[in-house]
Amino acid sequence: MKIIQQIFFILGFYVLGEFLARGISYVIPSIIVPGTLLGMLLLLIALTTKVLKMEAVEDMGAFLTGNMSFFFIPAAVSILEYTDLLAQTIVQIIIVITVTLLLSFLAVAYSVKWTLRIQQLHKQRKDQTHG
Amino acid sequence: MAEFLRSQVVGITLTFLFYIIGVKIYQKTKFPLFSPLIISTLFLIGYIQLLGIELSGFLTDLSGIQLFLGPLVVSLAIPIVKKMDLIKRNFIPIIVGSIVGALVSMGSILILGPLLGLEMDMVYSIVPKQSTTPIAVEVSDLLGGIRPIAVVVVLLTAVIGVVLIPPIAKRLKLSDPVVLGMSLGATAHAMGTAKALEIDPEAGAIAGIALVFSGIATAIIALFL
Repeated sequence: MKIIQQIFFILGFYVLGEFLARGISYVIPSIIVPGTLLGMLLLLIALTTKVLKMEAVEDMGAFLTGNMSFFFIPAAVSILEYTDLLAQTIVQIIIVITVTLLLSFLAVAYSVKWTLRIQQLHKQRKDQTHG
Repeated sequence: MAEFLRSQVVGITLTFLFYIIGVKIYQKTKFPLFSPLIISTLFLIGYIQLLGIELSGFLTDLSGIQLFLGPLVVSLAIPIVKKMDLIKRNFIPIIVGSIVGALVSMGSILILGPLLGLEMDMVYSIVPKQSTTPIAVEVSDLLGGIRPIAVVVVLLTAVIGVVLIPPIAKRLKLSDPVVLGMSLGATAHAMGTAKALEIDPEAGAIAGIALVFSGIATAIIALFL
């Protein structure tokens, strides 16, 4: 019963998110939001405002996020349909991935590093004026 | 007999079995190319080919597993709530790193992909690579990418990321746990998070947050494409 309830809550927020996403697209057709992300946002709000207790979804959530790659097996197997396409483009794909991965890694690393440094300087200055 | 071996219950049981084997092999070897997803996928492809099972039928048999992809994204809210204190303490760096990383990744793919002669459906399957798989497939679907290609791309990205990032980070003397965690979590997702956890517990915790925020940033930026 406990697990059934947890599955219900997570499925429920997913359905709610999809429902909301469709509602938004209906009102403003140019906006297409992923319903799953809206569901996540709703669950986030429900948990932080304590409308929903963490215990009500915790185990099922840990099961899903802890075994994430398992749920992609069907999608990964369907690559069989695209073997020709993949064989033709795999070199380009790997080049694009590697180059853009290095760029985004450096972008993340240095933007975070500099943000931390600015925050630190800011804090030091604040401490000085208060000291 | 052969009919039974092709049945849904055998297919699903083997899916679980191959995944368990994959996890065991990965735990033993820690070799990125032996990830549970890669191993179980290869085994299942072998099983399908060997018994001459039709792919579309097999995928219908496994549709119960696919059903959990949406709820999986929803449940990413849980680690966020649990790590709220850590997020509040590092809020600005997390936001900056996620947005800058997603922008640079998506922008550079949109430039480099067509330059190398890739068709747009291919490019759109690569564009969400800075995002964790469940959000990446969603973004790829919305943009008009090819879902299985998006899955393979995110997987390859994670494998290449965990191999390349730690040695480069070391050489560039990027040792701060927040910097390291953001780098690995944002670019190499769950696999990068596991790697960050091996290096430093705080970096691992930050990486787990980076993976979700990078996915959200990717989805939001994709709205404007």
